[in-house]
Amino acid sequence: MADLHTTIAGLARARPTLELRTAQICLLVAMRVRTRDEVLAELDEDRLAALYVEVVEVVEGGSRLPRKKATHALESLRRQGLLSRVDGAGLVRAGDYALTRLGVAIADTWLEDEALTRESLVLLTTALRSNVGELLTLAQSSPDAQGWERIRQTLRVNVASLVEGIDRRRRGLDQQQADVQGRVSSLLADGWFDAVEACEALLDDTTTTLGELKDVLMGETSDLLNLLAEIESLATDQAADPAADAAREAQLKVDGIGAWGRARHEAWSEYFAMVQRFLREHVRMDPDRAVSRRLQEGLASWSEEPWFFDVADQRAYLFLRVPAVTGTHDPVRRTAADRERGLDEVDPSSDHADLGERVRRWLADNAPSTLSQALRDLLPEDDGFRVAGRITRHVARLATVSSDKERAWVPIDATMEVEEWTITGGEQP
Amino acid sequence: MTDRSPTLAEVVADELFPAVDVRLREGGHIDDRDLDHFSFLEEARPQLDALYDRYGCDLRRSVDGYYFLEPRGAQFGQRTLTAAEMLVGQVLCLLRLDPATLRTSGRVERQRVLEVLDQFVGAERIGRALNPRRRKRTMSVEAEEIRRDVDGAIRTLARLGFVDAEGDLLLLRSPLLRFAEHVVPGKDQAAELVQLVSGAPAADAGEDWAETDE
Repeated sequence: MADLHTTIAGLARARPTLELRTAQICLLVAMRVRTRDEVLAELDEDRLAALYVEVVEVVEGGSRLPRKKATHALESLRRQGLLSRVDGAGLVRAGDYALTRLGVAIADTWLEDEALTRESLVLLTTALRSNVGELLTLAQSSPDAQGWERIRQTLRVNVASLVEGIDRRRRGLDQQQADVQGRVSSLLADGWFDAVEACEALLDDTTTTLGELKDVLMGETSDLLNLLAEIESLATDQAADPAADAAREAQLKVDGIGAWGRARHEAWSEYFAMVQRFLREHVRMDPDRAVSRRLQEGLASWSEEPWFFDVADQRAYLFLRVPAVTGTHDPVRRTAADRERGLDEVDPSSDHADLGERVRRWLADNAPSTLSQALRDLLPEDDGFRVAGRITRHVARLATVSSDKERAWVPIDATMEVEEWTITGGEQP
Repeated sequence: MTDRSPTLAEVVADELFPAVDVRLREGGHIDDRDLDHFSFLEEARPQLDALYDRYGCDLRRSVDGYYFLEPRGAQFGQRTLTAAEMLVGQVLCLLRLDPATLRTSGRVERQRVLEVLDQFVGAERIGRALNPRRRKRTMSVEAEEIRRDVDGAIRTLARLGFVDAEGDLLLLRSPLLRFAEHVVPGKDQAAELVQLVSGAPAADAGEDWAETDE
């Protein structure tokens, strides 16, 4: 990511721009074609200017002061890095010019791609297989680091350029198919029934070509992938990671070409079936194209003579079966429950009476004493709070008690404290 | 289903039956792009013919290769397509028959529907046809109303299985040829229209046809 940012920042600093008019693009293409056809590395300034005049003649039908305009146009292309002077003679004499890499790329983009044919594909894949085969032989001979580097470079450069060759031609084939589709549509639009045979011939030709290409691609790419996988495996075993990476990249490219072959064949099959159906159901059944004509007339007069058709619009089933149970609608009611709770029945207890007797006995045995002591001795283990008050009341009733003005709080147990009384006498009269 | 002819019970018990049945009852059209449903109908057609016949309804298989239910009387629910749906349906049918559509694998842009409507019917007559009670308004408002009506019609036609909406593109399906049934060659067009108007396959709303667009 940092590299990308650095690259973009560098580019932005250089402020590159491209501004090309049609005539200039055409000049680039013309220059590319001329140098390729005549196997020239460059063109001298006079030939270049003459080429420009020729281009302007075709594109704009000529112009005033063509040589002067040619000088300006060539200067503009040089300034934008599409054309470079290669003789190094400066102002001394007219120079020689060649397209830069950018100029070549632009020209190639506009030039029609060479289409992929069975012959060109076989040639390319055979060259590729032979190249990869040699690399495999080298890889199997346990090469040193230099040998692996050679394998890596060959994979990167040679194999990649061969794959690119196939790739470029496949774009040409895509374009060819699009052209065939366009021609089928045009033929039918112009000739309708008369165009059936021409359309079928076009379709058959393309289908045959695609079928052959698919067969070659499937067979060749499978072999190539095996060879490349073997190179990758050997490189990995011998820790030649860059060569293994290059082999993996080459496999991806070859695999991509195979996938393209399959996808293109499937898409064409679908198109083929659709056109055949169209020819069978519409063109052959209606050789005068009467349906379309009548539909057009019907549409034009529809607002005066409208017609409609119905469609089903039934969601629920009707009387699929006789319902076995008729629906009943009972009113919703609350249950008539008695919400009053009855009294709880509790067994009568003699605790209350017993407690008075126990306090009396305690007083007889222990007085004088204190209330806290009485409670410690008499309180049951549970329910102490409830019984403490009753014990105190019995003590107060049965004995003489007294207390200081400031009664001290004395703990009975961990949960209870009482204000202390002094019990000074036994049972009161 | 098995090799022998299935019974009605087996057809109804098939897991595809509910989906197919609901689609047909809602006015849907099923062609061979829905391969599962189409194959099911091909196999179960005799049994389903008998089933739907009891509801006063025909399970029709068009020569163009699609199925739909056609009610014969009032027992089975039915509705008449609106003016917008009829106009848009005819335009889409026309486009399906256009060889130019072959280049795009049977797809057209929505915009193309409006262009063809404008070409063959004309903006003013479209507006009047879609809603005759609409008051006169500015051209931009009128155009907006027409676009809305056409969009609504396309939605309904998609629900009925005539087209598949794929964003801005419409895939034109074979049931669209139902809009051209009355103009197929070899038939007397006028007689066919009379049959459509008077018989079950089609209904003419006559003077009140515009009411259907309410």
